[in-house]
Amino acid sequence: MHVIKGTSPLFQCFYLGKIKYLKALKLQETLVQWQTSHLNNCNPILLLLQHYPVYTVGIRSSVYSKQEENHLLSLGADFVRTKRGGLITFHGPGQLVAYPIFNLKIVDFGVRKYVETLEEVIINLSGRYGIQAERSPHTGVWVGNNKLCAMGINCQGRITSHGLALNCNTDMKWFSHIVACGIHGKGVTSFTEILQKPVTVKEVLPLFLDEFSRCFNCDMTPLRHLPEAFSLADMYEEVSHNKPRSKLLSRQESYEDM
Amino acid sequence: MSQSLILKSARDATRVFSKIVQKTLPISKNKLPPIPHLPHNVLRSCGFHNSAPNYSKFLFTDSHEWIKIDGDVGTIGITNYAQEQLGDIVFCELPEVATEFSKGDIFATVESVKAASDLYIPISGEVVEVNEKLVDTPAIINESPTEDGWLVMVKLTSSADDELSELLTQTDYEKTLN
Repeated sequence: MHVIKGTSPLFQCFYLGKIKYLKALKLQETLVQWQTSHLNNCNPILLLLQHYPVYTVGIRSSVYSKQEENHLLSLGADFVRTKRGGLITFHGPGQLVAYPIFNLKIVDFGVRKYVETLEEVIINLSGRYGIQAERSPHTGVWVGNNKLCAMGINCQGRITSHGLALNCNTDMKWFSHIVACGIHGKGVTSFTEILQKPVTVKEVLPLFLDEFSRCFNCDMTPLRHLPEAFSLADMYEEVSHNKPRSKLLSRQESYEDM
Repeated sequence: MSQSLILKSARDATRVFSKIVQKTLPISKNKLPPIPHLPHNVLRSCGFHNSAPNYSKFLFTDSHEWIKIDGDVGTIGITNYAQEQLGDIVFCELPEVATEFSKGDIFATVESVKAASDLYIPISGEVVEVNEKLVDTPAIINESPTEDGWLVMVKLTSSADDELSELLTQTDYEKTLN
């Protein structure tokens, strides 16, 4: 798949369903390696998924002790120390997680502008629900004093990984055990909490893709569903050769088990 | 003029020069020819302090790291362009002294706007010193990326000459920014 200069970038979009954090992390690392070794010759990728309950921390990992880790593990969640930016956050069902994995050179952004554009995607998306979301000195998207969407990125030689986590109908009780993103005196919220009606990941997905395409000025492939049954090698090969596989579910079916 | 002048920059010199010209010439300000900006190399030779950093000993990578050689030790940091693109740096992860790197290895990570960016070492070498001040005040990198915001010092290896020849001069580096 050649990237032709002058045309809009074409993001390959995949929905992974509910997937364990470490499995998605390994997939990200494989994809980053692939992007790095095919610098001028591969399309950008957008992974969309939900995680099983997990608390994750960024590179400032020493802020969180083994004690705190054990306490959070005892609640029934996983705990993973990662190489992204940002402090502690929670991922779980009902939260739309997006991992854009691509070379920033394609959109000619620096890291700061990339993060600002991700924030813009979510702010615009919230606007579609009539919610006034905004930025603050703390990276992420806020509604008043409550964080709606968390962000944490890794950038390795301009190849991005990790991304954002948007609370649609997440079980907010999980957040009560941490100071989310290390910011005291602020809370967290979700679309469901703000609008007082259920808002699912399924319904948010196409709106997210639309805003992402608009803000990054790029095209998106139709969302393809990759259930957990696929091995990593398959995914790597499939993505690099861009062959649609007969095992893939149609778009309609893919939303069934959300 | 009887009082001594302390001129701190090219801009200072130009400003003072224009004031002197205005006071001594018996013509109105509007009819004055425009005062030319004195180029930096002329001012430097006149002995005026030049506030712009002297880039002639610096070499650069196209991923926006710089290295300054002094004997067999190289000081490494990131450029002003890099710190602007990153935003306010809130955390800097530096290697331990005595760590050995090959050219192109990830030697440090900086965090800004919830983004952790890996930095690549421009030459092979053993770390002899790290900038401890960045642990408490990583913002120094934003304020003074090419001076006080240096990251590490490495002892060069025998392959230094070859590796340095692959790096960019300031002129070539600036071309990549456009």
